[in-house]
Amino acid sequence: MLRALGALLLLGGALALGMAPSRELARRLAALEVWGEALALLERELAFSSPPMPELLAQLSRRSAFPVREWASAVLNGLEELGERTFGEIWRRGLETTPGPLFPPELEALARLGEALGRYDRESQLESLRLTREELSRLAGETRKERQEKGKAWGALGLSLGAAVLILLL
Amino acid sequence: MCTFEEVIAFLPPALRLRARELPKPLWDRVEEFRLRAGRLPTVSLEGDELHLPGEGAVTRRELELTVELVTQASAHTALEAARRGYLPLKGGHRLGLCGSVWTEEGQVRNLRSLSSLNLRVAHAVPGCGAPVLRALGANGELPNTLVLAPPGGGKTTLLRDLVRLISDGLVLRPLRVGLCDERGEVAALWEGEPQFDVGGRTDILEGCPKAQALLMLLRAMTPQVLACDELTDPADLAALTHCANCGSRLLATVHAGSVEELAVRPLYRELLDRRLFSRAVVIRRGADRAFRVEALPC
Repeated sequence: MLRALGALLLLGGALALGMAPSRELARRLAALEVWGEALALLERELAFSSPPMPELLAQLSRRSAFPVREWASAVLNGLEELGERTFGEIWRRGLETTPGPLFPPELEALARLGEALGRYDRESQLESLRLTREELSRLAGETRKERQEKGKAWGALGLSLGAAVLILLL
Repeated sequence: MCTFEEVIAFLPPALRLRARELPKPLWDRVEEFRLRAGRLPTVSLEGDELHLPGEGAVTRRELELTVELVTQASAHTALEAARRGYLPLKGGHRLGLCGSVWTEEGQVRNLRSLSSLNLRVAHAVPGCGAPVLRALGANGELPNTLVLAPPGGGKTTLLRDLVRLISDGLVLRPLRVGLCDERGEVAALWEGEPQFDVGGRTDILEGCPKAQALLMLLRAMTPQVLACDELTDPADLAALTHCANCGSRLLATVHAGSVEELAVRPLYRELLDRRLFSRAVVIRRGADRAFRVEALPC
């Protein structure tokens, strides 16, 4: 009985281990979707009322979900350092310090956006936002596909590994 | 906070520290901070430029930091003003911009690669218009008046104080004033509130071309006096003529050192020919500005 329980625990643990990368991809996907919504909100606000950047960031921190909410609050607080750091630097530091499941490609795309926002005319900023949103959407598509293709395989691999260990132990 | 401290708050910290090292007696006399990439930062004092204390030339990064600081990283909201060449700042101060201009279809689209900035300190001199207004209104009525001075001669400062005195009735009986502040320099509205005292009976229309603003004010606010800064366009003259025919008193400024200089410029020649204005106030530049009131042919 004890042996059977141990075997079940081992297999369950191995399966969970195998599913971990898939869960990480799911978190990345969710974050990319939140970022996509946040950029769409920025685009709408800029297009219709062109509020100043502190107001835009305040809206994001109020109306967005994790991790954008935390990031927007960090950048909003960081605006006190304007004059010492550029807005692009404050924006990038916010991305680097806010905990969130973002991977280097989307981090880089978002950091590039920070170099364009707040510096140019509305049309140029809208164009930068659109390009970044497209880039995030492409990355989300790739992530979704990767998760679909590899998610089950990782689970099976974890389970097989667990089974192999179990056989060895038995 | 004194005006000097208020203005240097628009500079990046390193330049702010250097500005604070200027001898305190000079603080109230600083007219501009000039920042040019690769050159030492300077301040303008009564026509001269002095280097700021400390070492090191202004960097392009400092120029960019300054613009980001004053716009709060919101160039898109300030760009319409930047297309006119400067950004209006809280307190009535302004930041002039120079660099590479990006145009599209003949319109200024953006300013990239900043090369120099001019942080201009707004000075209100309450009371400077009192002797002028006393001379103008010797018979108890305000005549249509032109204020003349070369650029930087103090026209806007005098106009602002004249508007305040007329509006509050501090020299003559109080009159309702409509102020066309096309460039936002006279009243310097900030979130709907004038940053300079322009009197309690003054209605301000900012950012609107003068010719349109004069007629809008005339229709909407029924001013007894219409005031505007820097007449430069034939359309302004047509609008002023219309307003004068409707019974409003006129108060305006022009770039000219004297009435004689006014008469040789085609636009201003026409202004004189229309006989809209009966008095000219000529400002003479110097350490202490002097005013002279002259009669114009009418």
